[in-house]
Amino acid sequence: MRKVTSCVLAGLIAAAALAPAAADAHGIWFAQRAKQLALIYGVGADDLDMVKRMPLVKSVAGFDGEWKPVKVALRAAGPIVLVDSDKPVAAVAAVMDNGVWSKGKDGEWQKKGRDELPDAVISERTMKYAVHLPALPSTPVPVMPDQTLQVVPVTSPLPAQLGQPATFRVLFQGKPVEGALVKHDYVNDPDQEPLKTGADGTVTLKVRNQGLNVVGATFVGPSDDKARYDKVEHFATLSFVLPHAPE
Amino acid sequence: MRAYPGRWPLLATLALAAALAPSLALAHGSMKPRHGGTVSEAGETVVELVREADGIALYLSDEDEPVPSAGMAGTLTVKGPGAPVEVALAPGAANRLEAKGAKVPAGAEVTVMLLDQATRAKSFTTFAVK
Repeated sequence: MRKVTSCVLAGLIAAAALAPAAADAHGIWFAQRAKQLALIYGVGADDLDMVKRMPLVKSVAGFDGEWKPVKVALRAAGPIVLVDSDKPVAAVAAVMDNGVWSKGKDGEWQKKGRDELPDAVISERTMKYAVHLPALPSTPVPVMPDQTLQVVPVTSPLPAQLGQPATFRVLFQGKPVEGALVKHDYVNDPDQEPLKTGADGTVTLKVRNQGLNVVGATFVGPSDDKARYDKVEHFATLSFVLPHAPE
Repeated sequence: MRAYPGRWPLLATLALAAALAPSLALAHGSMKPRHGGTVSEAGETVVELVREADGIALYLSDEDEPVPSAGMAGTLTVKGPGAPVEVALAPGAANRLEAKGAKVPAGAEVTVMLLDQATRAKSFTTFAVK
């Protein structure tokens, strides 16, 4: 019994130690809620409070099927955040500045920079990006200037069936980036071992879901304010939907 | 496993339920027109578009029940030859929305935006008019 208790305690301590890192790995993506398009903040099945984070969203953009801009805005609807538009959208994108976080010697993350926590173990700024395709596009997804880190499909059109391979390219500041870490299903398999992009910025993976797919990519870029943070962690999602069988 | 006749009705019921489940879960109502128009779906709302002499009428239903148009608003955008034309939708009787004066030439594309005024939820559908 004592051995079991020790194991449980060890597990809890390990989980507690890992928790800050997990919290740091949150992202944004779009998903359908009650037939409306919602902006989600979280990781895995954790769908966290996006309403309180709305001020952190720096931009939201909509596009029609020809990639022309469509006016969109975000609005709080109860505890969730919806994309509001008077026109249908073929794609929507958002950028969120999650601010500067530092991990102190005590292992606690605080929303402060190195200027306020000089002995921090890590200080970083975290940026979140999201592009969503409600229907599979018939033309290539363009580079979007606001998306400093962006996942774009290379395979065009994307497969309509799960299990088929698809190649994606990760762009940093519009250019392919090597070594970005890509997860093929950020919502349903958040702890998977990520794939690394090659020299051409691509990875090939099997499309996982006959429904919502959220591909996530992480790339750590240099700091633009070394006095406050050591690095900028960029996390981008590309979400797309494979259609289900006709009703 | 020993045969147990009393179990078959239960198994048959479960099998029937499983067979029916997808269609029950997916059905949002009949897609057959009831006013001689064309039917499409905006979100979960079945929309029937009817071209009339003095404009366009839309009839709304959900799971075969009429959706009162009093709580709805929206727009109708007609893309035909020339620039797109947007017309506001106004509630009519029962489940009818009206775009008085809207002209829809053959071959036009009509995009409907429905606004639920209680929830502010918007839904869209597009008709290709023959």
